[in-house]
Amino acid sequence: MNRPGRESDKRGVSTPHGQDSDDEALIAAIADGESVALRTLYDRHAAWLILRLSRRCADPAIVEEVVQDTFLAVWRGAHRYRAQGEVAAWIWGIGIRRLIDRLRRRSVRLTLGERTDLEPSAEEVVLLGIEHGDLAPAMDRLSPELRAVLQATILDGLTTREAARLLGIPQGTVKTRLMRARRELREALA
Amino acid sequence: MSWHVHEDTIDAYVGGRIDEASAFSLEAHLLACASCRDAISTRVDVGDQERIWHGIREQTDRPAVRTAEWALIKIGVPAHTARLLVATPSLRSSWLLGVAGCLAFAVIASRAIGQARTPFLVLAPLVPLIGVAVAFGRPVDPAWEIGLASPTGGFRLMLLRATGVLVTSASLAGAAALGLPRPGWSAAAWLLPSLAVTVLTLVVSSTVVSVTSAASGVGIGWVVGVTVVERLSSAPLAAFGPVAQIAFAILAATSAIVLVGRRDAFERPTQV
Amino acid sequence: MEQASIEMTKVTKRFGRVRALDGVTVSAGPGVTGLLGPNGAGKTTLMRMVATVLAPDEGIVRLLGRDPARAGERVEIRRRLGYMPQEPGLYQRFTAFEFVDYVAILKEMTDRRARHDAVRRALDAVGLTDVAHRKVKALSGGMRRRLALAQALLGDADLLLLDEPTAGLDPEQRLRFREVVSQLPHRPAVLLSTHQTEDITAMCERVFVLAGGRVRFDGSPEALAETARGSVWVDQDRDGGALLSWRMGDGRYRHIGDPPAGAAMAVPTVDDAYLLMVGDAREAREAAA
Repeated sequence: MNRPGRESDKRGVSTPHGQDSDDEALIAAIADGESVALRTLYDRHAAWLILRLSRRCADPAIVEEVVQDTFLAVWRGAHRYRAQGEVAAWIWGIGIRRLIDRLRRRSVRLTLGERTDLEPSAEEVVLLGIEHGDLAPAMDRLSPELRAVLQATILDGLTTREAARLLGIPQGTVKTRLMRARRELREALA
Repeated sequence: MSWHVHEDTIDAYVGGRIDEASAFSLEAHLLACASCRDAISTRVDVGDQERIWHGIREQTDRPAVRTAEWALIKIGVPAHTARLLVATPSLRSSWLLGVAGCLAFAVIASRAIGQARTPFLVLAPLVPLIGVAVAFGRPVDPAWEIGLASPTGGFRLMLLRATGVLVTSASLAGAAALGLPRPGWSAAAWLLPSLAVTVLTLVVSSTVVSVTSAASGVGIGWVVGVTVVERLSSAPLAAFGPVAQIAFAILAATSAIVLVGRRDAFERPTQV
Repeated sequence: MEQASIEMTKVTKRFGRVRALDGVTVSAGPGVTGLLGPNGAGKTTLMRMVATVLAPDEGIVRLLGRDPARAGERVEIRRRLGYMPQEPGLYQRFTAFEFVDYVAILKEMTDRRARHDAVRRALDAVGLTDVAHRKVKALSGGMRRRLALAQALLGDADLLLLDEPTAGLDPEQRLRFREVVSQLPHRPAVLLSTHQTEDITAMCERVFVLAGGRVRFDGSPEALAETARGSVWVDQDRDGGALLSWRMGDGRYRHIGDPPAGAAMAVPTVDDAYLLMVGDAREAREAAA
């Protein structure tokens, strides 16, 4: 996908993308095959991705593999990114799904772009708690299983089916726990 | 961003000492805040990141494998050899599709004419002929001189590509021949002639004649020769009969021996 | 013992009736040796011989101590040879990385990981790392030259042959090119053919002047310049008796040839000496024709 005004196909005219490009520009450069842009993107996002995945999977070797797979998927699938919000969120979507695949050892890989943006409900916006402080005590009152479900669906953005695979519980259980968690949080925050 | 995460919270997160609610909040925030992500980056072990990067780079540096190359690798050709084979047009998908098309056309023509399989049998040996003409040599291979000066050398490169051409041509022709009316022994009658004219072309190309001219010359000679024999003899398909097959076999074998003897001409051409 | 990396003794090569090389004796060791001469002087023929792709009609050739006429030794030479031909010879549809990778395969590097490391090093040496995955057809002329150099640098060649490597480059690109060549850590024997005297003065410790298929000079660039001492003078006007004259920036004329009595002699440059030699050779050829 060539954006208008990009000169990377002209002879040696454009400079490869460096530190001052924003994430979206980097993705476009990666789609054009600039490996330097991938490196820059990696330098920006590898650290938090490693940490966040490590909090969902205790095995560091698996986390490493998943991080590698994620950036390789970015390299190969950059042209499929459709300005769908934060690049970091897109990367996370790829990463968490790779993690699920890896944990379940599936040979069928979920394709990128499969998940379209879901409009978060008002509750979910509150729950995401951009202002932290309100959320902490309310969350603490939930049981660990409910918190895990909340994290998987609302924070990590998984569907109930994916959350079920990640957590190793039936899909129906995910739904009921989610309902309960939301109800309890609403009560606690009210 | 109206607020940023406090440094202590980041430290707690990195150190694994953070409570879940705060972690939630932080992780959600990180998706939208580049400077807090940078703060995280400075706290994660660089060595690990580098190692992971090397794994990524190894994969991203791998040249993309195109269709024909992928097919070659699947049937067991070593990856590096496949790279050498597909550099010139003769083993690219576009060329192979064209060849398949021509052969299909020849089969249809043979069927339309009825019993005579001549169009197909005359055409099939021309396929590898044209194939080697676009497989190696200065006109089709810009990096030919570099190849000559390499340890692989002109002779091995030529042999490699010529073999690739012959094998693929024979496979395609063999597949197409199944569509001939009443295939029988004569469906394979093009095989030895293919081999003979191709090796002969290679021998001729080792002289001052370029491979393109050699291919044209031998190709024309072939078509004319077959036509003449067919006209002069009473038996149908005399040019492909048992006697002719033996003659082609001898021609192929002799040419092969001469070719090996002419190795130096490929390694150090007198007129580069 | 430092054996000469290149030794050619009384080498002759004919193409039809033309003698491209006529009794040429050339030798070179580690460091940069220049081959200076006009087009058609036989430089490319000589380069091709040293690259083992052309056989001489007469004479002896020894490269890295081995005889390229023998098949086994020839392969050995080629393993330690890097050749940048006059025609860049790049595949348009390959990326820069893929092209160098292709040459690395030709150099028998079959292990992919080691090979890719070598490719990365070569691209890094010429400063093309950032565009490694750009297709050749999207590279500028200067980048393509550097790519052609990169493939020659693969595998730390002991013998590096560069045929007119700076042709078509602007001064800045030429400078960068010289930097790369003069900073190679493993000190190969570099044979550099050119018709630009600045390349000689900037890079070469030794230079051979080749004109009309014959070696006209063998020595240092300074010694080359010295050969023109007494044959270069400056005057306000053109001098018809000079072999060659041209107008300088300050409006005066510089002449080379036989100076008239009382002429204002000038300090000779490599350029002067080269033109003098080549001019002489041309005259001799025209006289013989």
